[in-house]
Amino acid sequence: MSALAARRVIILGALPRRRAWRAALGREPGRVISISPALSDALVDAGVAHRSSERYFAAADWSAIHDRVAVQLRRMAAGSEAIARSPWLDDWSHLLGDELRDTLYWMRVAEQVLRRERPHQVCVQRLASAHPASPALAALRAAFAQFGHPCRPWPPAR
Amino acid sequence: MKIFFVGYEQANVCYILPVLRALQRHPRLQPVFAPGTDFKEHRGLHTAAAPRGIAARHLDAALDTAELAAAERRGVALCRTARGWAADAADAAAPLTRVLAGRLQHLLGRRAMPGLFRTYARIERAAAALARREQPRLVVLSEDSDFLRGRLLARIFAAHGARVVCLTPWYYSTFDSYPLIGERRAHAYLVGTGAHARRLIAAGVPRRCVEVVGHPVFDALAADASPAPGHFLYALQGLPWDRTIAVDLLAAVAAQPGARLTIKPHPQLPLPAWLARLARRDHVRIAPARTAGIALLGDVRCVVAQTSRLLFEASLLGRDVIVPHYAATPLLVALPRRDAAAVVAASAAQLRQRVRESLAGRGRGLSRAAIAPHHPHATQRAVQALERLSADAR
Repeated sequence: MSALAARRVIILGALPRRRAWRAALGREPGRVISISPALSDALVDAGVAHRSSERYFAAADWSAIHDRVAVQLRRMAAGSEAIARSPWLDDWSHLLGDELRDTLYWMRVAEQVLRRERPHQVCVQRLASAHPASPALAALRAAFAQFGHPCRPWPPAR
Repeated sequence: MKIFFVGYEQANVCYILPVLRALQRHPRLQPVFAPGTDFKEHRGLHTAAAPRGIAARHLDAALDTAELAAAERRGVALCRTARGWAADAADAAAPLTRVLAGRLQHLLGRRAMPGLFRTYARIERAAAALARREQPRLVVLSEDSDFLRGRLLARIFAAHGARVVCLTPWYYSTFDSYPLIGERRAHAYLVGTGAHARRLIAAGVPRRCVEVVGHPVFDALAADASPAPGHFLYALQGLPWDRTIAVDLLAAVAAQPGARLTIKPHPQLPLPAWLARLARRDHVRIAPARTAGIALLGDVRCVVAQTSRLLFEASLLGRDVIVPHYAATPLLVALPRRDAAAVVAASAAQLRQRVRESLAGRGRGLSRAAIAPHHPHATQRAVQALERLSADAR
């Protein structure tokens, strides 16, 4: 595997068509990451070496997510006396926690992919918006952008 | 002595109904029900109906015209302040702050938000008025974490000197997604499972304040006659992966001689367009949309669902269950660890394997001791706990 390929990360949400796969990956795909156990099984069947996104998230990370939300909201609210004094921020923790759960999960995955893989290039698969993996891929794209590492669509446009 | 059950939304009334009925016959305790309001994006705000025959207090009736107008003004001001604050915070440099602020901005920008803030302000004021007028000594809530119900009400009633008890519906015991962040407001917690008790204790609630009573709503369930072999039931929930799972499950069932599948639509959601195509296949039938899940369990051998309560009811009736979980994010429902290893299917291949196991008599449900401790005596334990707490509250 060349140095450039090794530093390319391709994140997949669904099994690509074989022809697209060969054309777009070539012989040196880089690091392929699957975002669902079902896809991982399909990739194994297709003989594609990959890692599961679960490898980039530890159980301890999950338990800390809501705490991070609470601490960060309090810190943010410190700048606004009207908000810091209002009980709504605390009372609305339920809604905020629910809303942000997946966002923060994928943010943590993106952060760990960048830290461990040190990719030169991150590619995220394009899927129809109706595909069930589409929200997760969108969250990952947004997270990489937040970390200053915009993604390229995969497969690349001709 | 009156015990006030406050803020239970419509979907949660069924979980406390056996306790309310038992208290109706109690020589010393009298239940009073003050309905809660909930918000769902697809249908807006909705206030629960009081169960027939139970004394009721309606929060809205606690306010006069001037107080309602004051609550309206406070709601509008809160919404304006919050929107401005989130917009300011969105300029922050740290990624986490930017993400949180961005999501908050999106959340606060929704069309329903001004109405939600106004409702919040109205409930806040009405609960305080009720607390002043009735001076309840024991108030029972569904939880103390929900912005429109438990959290808000626990703060108000505790500030007015009431003892606040959470008698948590099944939902809050089962979904790990309910956050326990922030200060706990209740004085005691009557919960459905040991796992929920451990979460609360880990979040800082003193052990002596938590009691596992079980789930009163499950008391009426008892294992019944043997189900027909080969009948699988899939409960649609409007969740991501529903369609993929339905297609995989149908393929798995169709591959087994004599097996058949019933798909149960979600009672409150429109029928998905893709369902009609599946329904044309052999081996599959779509249940009438409004049929209660429990009514379909008669001859079902195995229930398949992502997070449905039907998984728990089926387990108590002695049926097998399968929990497909195709997403990479952690499972939403808190399944007993040993059960999870045997019932979760993370892919089509695992789903096929679980179907074969069930047909071969090697399937299983969730462990009764873990999902419904003290079954079928949860109602009795909840009433006994409320008797003790009411004695303390005098």
